[in-house]
Amino acid sequence: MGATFILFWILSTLAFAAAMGILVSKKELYSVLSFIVLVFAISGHFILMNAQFLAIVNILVVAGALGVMFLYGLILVRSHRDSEQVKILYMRIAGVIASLLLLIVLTAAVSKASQNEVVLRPGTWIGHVDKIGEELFSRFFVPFVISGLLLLSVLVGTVVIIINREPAPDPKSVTL
Amino acid sequence: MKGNYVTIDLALVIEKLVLIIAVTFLVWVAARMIAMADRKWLHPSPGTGVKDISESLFGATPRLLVKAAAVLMLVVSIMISTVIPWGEAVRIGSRNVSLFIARVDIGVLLILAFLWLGIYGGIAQRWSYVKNDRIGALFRFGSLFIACALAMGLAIVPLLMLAASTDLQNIISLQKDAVWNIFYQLPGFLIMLLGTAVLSKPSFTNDGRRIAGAGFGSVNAMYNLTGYVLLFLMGTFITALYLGGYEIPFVSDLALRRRFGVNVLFILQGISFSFKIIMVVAILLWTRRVLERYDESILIRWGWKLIIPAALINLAGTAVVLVA
Amino acid sequence: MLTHFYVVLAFLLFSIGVMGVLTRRNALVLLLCIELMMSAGILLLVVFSKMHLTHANSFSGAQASQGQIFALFAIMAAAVIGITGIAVIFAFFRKTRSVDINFLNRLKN
Repeated sequence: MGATFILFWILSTLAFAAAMGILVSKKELYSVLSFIVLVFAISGHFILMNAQFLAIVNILVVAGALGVMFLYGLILVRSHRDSEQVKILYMRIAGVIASLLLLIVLTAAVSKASQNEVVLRPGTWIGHVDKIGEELFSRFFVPFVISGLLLLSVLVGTVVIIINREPAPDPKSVTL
Repeated sequence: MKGNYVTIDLALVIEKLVLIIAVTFLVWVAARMIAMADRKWLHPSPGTGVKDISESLFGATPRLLVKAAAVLMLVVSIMISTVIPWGEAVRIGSRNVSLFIARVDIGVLLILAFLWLGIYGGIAQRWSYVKNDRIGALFRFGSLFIACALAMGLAIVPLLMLAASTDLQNIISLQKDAVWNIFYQLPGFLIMLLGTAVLSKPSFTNDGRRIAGAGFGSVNAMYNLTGYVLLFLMGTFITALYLGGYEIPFVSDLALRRRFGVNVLFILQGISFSFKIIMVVAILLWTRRVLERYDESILIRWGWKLIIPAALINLAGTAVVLVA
Repeated sequence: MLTHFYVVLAFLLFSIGVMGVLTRRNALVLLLCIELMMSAGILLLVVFSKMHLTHANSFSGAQASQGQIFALFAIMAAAVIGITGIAVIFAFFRKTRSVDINFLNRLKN
């Protein structure tokens, strides 16, 4: 219990700090890097709960693929930096108050719930690759195939959104 | 720690920690020495020093970030070694110490993830050291990296289907005293070799050659040395996947163990494993040297139009053969 | 580890994400905050998949891993959202030369 407890607090602090980093950092680069740190912290929580497959999928898909996509998007977008974002103080204060209220309401809603422990019962092998694979390819086969179709349609749709229908700009003007 | 926890021997953890710290320190020392030698013997070309690390993009604190990225990439590369078993067991005193972290059933996926995270190192390196056409360099690198990593991932999947497991220990023990995987999966083996040869060289592409050519600080030297660490460890990984790992060819390991005991077998297996790794690393270095002649746009085209379809066909063919 | 700790942690991350969506005007950071909220939800899914096992008449292992499979699909959905979002951001960046979402007000006319 001791080691799990300490690791939980370390990972939770890391996740909280990374989330705050996303929120408050002025530069988008640091937001993206904080997001990657956050994904690693959450993967650490998964490993702590013995959900190894999800931990590694989280690292591969979110920290790997999605983080890289964010970085490349940042590279493209940062390269023509000319606008300063408009800051509206009242909207910021209202947003902070609203989200804090949401936090209070959500926490109050579960405060009466019965106490439960996250238990790793030996022998069930939940969260291991073979168990998830068995379930995924027997009971959840149709959702799995449909999600594959979704990914394919996203691939096509992204290209359609991003494709340049106008004549290409002068490449000399796109400099870093 | 019982049940379905990951059980880890404490001695093994200490060994891996010492390995990671020692190799990181050694590479750092080597990088400093390279930087010193560069400063002494090469006259630095104008405008390529460490000073102008991409001030336009990183802003106020660029160098700390780039240094941290270099160290992190090195540590991530060394982390690959933590899931590769180096032998069966060794007897210290009266107890058997198994030389692998028991039941890491995500071992192969873990190595793929660590390999994939190397893209951040390449991005950081290009972001900081390429001066002209930085966006183009970044996108060429990304395209090449994604092609190679994707092809390698697709090449490993048929092996997982053959072994019906993602545990590296299982994959090795299936090849023990049996046919090596390379005889079932020759295309996959070749794809892994090509991919590793491309990925492990930060100065592979033309942009990379521009980076590596001029005299640079120790951070850039560290990136380049990380490539060698990655090359060696991926050679180990390929050996474990396709060439039977620590298994001794032509003789039955079981009989050897009965005859000579655990420790002698451990030494023999170590010799066998090292020999195989040296062979694979030699082939990798040769491949890298050959591929260096080609332009990166050609490599990207081969990667997307040749290697990835080949990996897909290999995957589909293996699936058909296994089911039929 | 008590489940309450994890639940409160997930709520905390979720509210930080909401705060980011409400206060930041940068579209990329906005998308990151949405991903943050998705991550909090995925964390809760995994926690509850493990919590099921504590009850005396708990589900079998096969049923408990449904939570993790749902989390797997949620990770995929997060990736889909991220990629599509970046595509949309880039599309409107090309029109407006900015990633400030206040510029989307122009779409009214």
